[in-house]
This record gives sequence, C-alpha cells and structure tokens, in this order.
Amino acid sequence: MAINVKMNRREFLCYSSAGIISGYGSTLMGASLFENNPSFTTVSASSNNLGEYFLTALNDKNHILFQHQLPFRGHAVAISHRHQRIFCISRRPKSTINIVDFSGNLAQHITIPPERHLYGHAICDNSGEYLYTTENNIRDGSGRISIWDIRNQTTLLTTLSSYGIGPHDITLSHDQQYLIVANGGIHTHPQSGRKKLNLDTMSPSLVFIDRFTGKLHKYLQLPPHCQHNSIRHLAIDFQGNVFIALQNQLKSNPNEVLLARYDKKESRLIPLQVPAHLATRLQGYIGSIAIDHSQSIIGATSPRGNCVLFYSVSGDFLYHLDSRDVCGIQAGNTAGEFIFSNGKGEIIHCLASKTLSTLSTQQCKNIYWDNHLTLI
Amino acid sequence: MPPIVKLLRTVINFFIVIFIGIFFSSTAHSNQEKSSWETNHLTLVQQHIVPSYHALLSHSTQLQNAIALHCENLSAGVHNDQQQVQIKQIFKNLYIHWAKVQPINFGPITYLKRQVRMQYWPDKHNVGGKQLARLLRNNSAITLKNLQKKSVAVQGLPALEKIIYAKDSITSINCSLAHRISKNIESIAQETYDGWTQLPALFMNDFLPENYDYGTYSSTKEITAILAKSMTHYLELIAKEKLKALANNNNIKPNHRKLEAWRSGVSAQLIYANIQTIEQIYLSVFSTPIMLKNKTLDQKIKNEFITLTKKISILNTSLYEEIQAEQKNIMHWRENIQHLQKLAHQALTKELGLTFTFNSLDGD
Repeated sequence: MAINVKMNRREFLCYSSAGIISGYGSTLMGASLFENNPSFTTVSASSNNLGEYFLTALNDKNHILFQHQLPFRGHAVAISHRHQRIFCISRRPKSTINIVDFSGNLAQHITIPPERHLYGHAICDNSGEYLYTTENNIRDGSGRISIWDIRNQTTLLTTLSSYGIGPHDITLSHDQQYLIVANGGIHTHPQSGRKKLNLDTMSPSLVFIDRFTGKLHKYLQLPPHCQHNSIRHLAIDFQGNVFIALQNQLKSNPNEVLLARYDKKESRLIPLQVPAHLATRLQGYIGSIAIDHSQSIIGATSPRGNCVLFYSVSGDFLYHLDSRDVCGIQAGNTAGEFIFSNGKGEIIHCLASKTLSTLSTQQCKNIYWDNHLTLI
Repeated sequence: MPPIVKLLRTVINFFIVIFIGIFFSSTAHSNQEKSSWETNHLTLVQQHIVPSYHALLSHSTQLQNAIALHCENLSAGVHNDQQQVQIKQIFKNLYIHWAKVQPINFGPITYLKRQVRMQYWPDKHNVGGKQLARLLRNNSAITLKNLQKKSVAVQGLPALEKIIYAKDSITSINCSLAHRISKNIESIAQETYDGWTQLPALFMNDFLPENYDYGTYSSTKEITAILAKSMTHYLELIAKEKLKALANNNNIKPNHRKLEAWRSGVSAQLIYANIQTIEQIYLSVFSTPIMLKNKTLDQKIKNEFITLTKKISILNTSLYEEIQAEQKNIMHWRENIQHLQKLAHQALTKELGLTFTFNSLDGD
C-alpha cells in the first residue's frame, strides 16, 4: 500500500534545518555546489513510532514522495531505471521482496522458494533485465545467488552458488561480467533467528562469479587473524578495486581491521588502518560503504561509533564526521559528495574534499531510516 | 628537600590518590550497574516471559483437546451446547494469554512468521473472512500441513474466533477446520516455547552475557533497548490500533468492528493483559534504575499503570458494548495510555539515556 503524500500534509512533511558548515569548509563553496546539483531523491527502508516498516522516498526539498508500507522489515533496495522499479529486499531471515514503481505503488510481491531465505541485498544489471539476490539455502547453509528475469513480471530463472556461507552485499563489475559477492561467513537458520551458528569455523570471503556461467573467477580472503571479521558490504571503483566493510564478530578477540581494499593490480585484500583514536569507538562494526563520484574518496558509516569515516582510495584516513546512529550512505552526483541517513530520521548531505563540509541536514518526523540508502 | 617541594609532592600524591579512587569507584559503579541490568533482564525472562509462553501453550492444548472432543461428539451425532460454551470460555482464556505475550516483540515468536500466523490483525481488507469462506466452501478435510501453506489470515486466533462465534458456532461442517486451526495454534505456541527453552534456538540463553558473541544480541545495552522499545511501541500500538474504534473525530461514529476481538468480546481484557505485561517489563527491568535517578517520575509511572489497569478491570460489559454506548470513561483510555507512554519515554530517554535508534543496535 502506498501513501502518496501531498506536500501540505503535515503528518508527512519534514522540516529542514540549515546546513552547518564544519571545519574549514566554505559556505559559499558548499552552497554553489548544491545549487549546481540540486536534485537527488533517496529511497530507503524505514520505521516509525509504531514499529511499522516502510519503503520511503524523500527528495532534497524535504518532501516525502511516497511511503510504501512493507509487510516486513526492509534492508536494501535494487533499482531498475529501465523499468522504473524499486526492489525492496526483506532483511534476513525473511523471504519476500516488494517491487514498487517510482510512485511507490506495489507492482509485485515475491516470496522466494521456502527452502531459502534472503540476506537483504540485491543488484540489477545495467541493462535492467536481471536482478541478482543473495540467499541462504536453509538445508545446508550454503550461500546462493538467485537470478531473476525482471523484463516483465519478475520471475526466477536459476540460482548459482555464492561459493561461501552467508552472502550479504552484492554488486557487479563495471564490465557487467562478474558478480562480486561479500560472503559474510556466518551460518544462521530461520529456526534460531539471527543466532550465529558457526563462529568458530567462520570463513568470510570476497568472490567474483561469472554471471553468465556461474563459475568462480576469484576467491579472496582476509589474513587468518581476521577470520572473525565478517565481510558484509561493498563499493567498487571504475578501476575494479573493491572496498569492503567488515563486522567483527568476537568481542573477546577484537582487532582493528574494519575496512579493506581489494587491489586489482596486486590481486589481494589490503586492510585499511582505523585511526587509533577511533578504534574502540567503532565497536568492531562498519554498517555501509560508498565511493564518491570522482572515485577518490571512500565513505564508511559506523552506526555503533556514531560517525562516518572518510578515506582516500589509496587507503589513507582523512577525517570523520559525527552522526548518531548513522548507517545508510551513497555517493552524490559530484566529486566528494555523499548523502547519508541515520536512525534519528536525518538525511545529511556533505562534501568531502580537502576538508569536510556539511551542506544540509534534513530531519524527518516519525521516520527512522534503516540500514541502507539508495539514490534514484 | 626544600619544604616547598615536599609540600608540592604531598599535594600531587594526594590528587593521584583521589584520582585513582574516583577511577576505580566509577569503574566499579559502572560494572555494578551493568550487572544489575543483566540480572533484571534474566528476572524478566525467567519469571515472566518463559512462564507466559508456557501458559499460552497449556491453554492452546486445552482448546485443541476441547475442540477435538466436540468434533468426535458431533460426528457421533451428539450435539452438546454446554461443550460449545466451554469452548468459547477456553478460547477467551487462550486469547488473553496470547495478549500477555503480544508486547514481547522479539525472540522465537518473530521467527518463521509465527506472530502473524498466530494473529493476523488488523485485517483491513477482511482477508481472513474471504479466505475462510473459500476454505469452508471446499470443505475437503484439510491437514495441518496444508493449512500451514494457506494464507496466514486463516491460520490463527482471528480465524478460529470467526468460526466459534459464528451464528451456528462449531458445526459438523466446520469442525474439522476449527480443529486444524486450533492444532496449528498449539503448534505455533509449542514451537515458540521450545524456541525459548530448547536447542537449536534456546533464546533464553541469549540473555546471558557469556553468549553475547554467539547469540542474537551483542550487549546488555542492546537487550535493554529492545525491551524499552517493546514497551513504548506496544503502548503506542494500543493507543493507535487497538483503540482505533474510539473515533477521534466527533463527526465519525465509533466503529466497534475495528476492535481486536469484537466477536468474542474480550477486547478490553486483551488490552488489560497487554498493559499488565508492559507493567511487568517496567517493574522488572526499568523501575529500579529510574527510581535511583528520579523517584517522583518512577512513582508517577507506577501510579499511571495502577490507574489504567483499574479503569480497564472494572469494566462490566464488553468494550464492544461500551463503545456502542459511547461511554465517556472509555473514551479517555487512549489519553491515559498516551500519557503513560510519554512518561515512559521521558524516563527511558532523559533519565536513563536510552536511544530508540536501531542501526547501532541491530544492524546487518
């Protein structure tokens, strides 16, 4: 059910607060960039005071474009611009996908076969013909990738192995040849909810799978001392380097490797250093990751540390920005531009270059943004 | 050593001792605080939550047995009105025991669609009614396995209520379906109870700090926030959904069919049971820490619970009838609940510094 909201409906209007320019950033610089590039629409799963779940689209003028009520808690979305469809994937261990149009109307509701459940992430290919979802094969806990034909009604074509356990985030290489999958390594079962069943033996991996043949192209792992760092989220640059966000599962065995870079030339995973003054604060957890439009800056959110970290693509830490319960992050349309969301209902637009500037903060009433944010 | 240096050394040593004292006492205090939260969580689980699920299971078994016996009698051509009355009473008790666990919006009840299979409500488009009519039309004996593949709207309490409180109640025609639904309810209750107490889920153990690495939750703080959220969310849900029938607008007539259990007439008792559980969560987990920070606020919240439960418990007729008669005291329930929610929210956020955000607590 979609609630198309008129702009004058108080209930759904958000109020905005002016952006505060932090650090050495220039107000003029931020404002002019914003004026040149004024429009973005974010879409994200959200919740409200009643604990109900929605897929919510918000524009940069602080207007809710739609709120589509979900029968499940959503996690991330995949977008097909060609068919103007948003695929809202339920959070693990649920098994449903709501497909809505760009006005928030339900186009189709899919339940995946009962022998599997979803992990909350999916990706559409550039042609807009196929959707790829990460799934768990419940019987043996093996990771699967389902391929869906989305040209008309969305239908399941086939499934591939993810070559690991707990496939979470998924993306496509820029040449559209390979599916890049973050196998978190954690085995769960719907009977026991989100309980981790294999922490002693978990073995996360980053894999490249040929999407046409299903064959494994590359299999990468972190060093052995990072065995308990679950690989969860991904961002890829035009050169084919992949940046990965990790979640450390063992509090009793903490380490500071929370981000890593797959270096295409060296063909290996290189951990990025978390600065000492932030290491404890992050509590072993990065929620989401994105790379900016110019392919030079990485933004990674830490909801437990209540901050966003920024790195250069070469792996140097630049600075951080405080934001409570922040998690969703996406690159904007210009160099250094990032948009991120938090559980307080804020959408924050910032510019990361030599210094960091907050361009605007939109605050929504009775909307709590869930883990991931996407621009449409 | 010159006296001035001696004096300085003494002063520095004094401050070092004071600093160490403050450091250790604050660490000890924080550890003590943490362990008292852990104890409160376990008390709630062991003394209230698990016994409540056990009671739900016992009542569901009782209902299933009663319906099975009634069906046997019907097929033998014996119609026993007394048995129908008894079934209605057992059903009401079961519904009330379900309401006692409704605010517990975490754990095994949230796995495998158990919550919605047990009670599909609110049913805005009457999916349950339509699906039930379809099932009854095809009156072939449905197995439990088949029923579990049907719409969630025909698997639980509202569907069974429709049959039991239909004009002819349970007849030889719908008896088999009524029994399957009661069996399904029992099976959901059993799975949920087992989920708390048995492997593989053994959810009860997820509240023990030594399981934070392996379990569902990773910290005491996370569990505290989940309980706080359950409390305030459910108060809001009662005010906004369960009391929706109390129209706000004077021009709109109250719609008593929006009540949760208008057929069986236990809507008020369900709210009463909900409030009792929410009060239990408050008393077991939050009351003492809040009392230590703001005694007056804690007392206010406790008084509000007492006032509210008293108001609900003295209701002589059903909420359905009261709303039809537009009783003024009923019309104020929502305000009472909203006031309680406001106080609870203030206590949890301002006094205890809890946040109701979720990315930092249960991300993925």
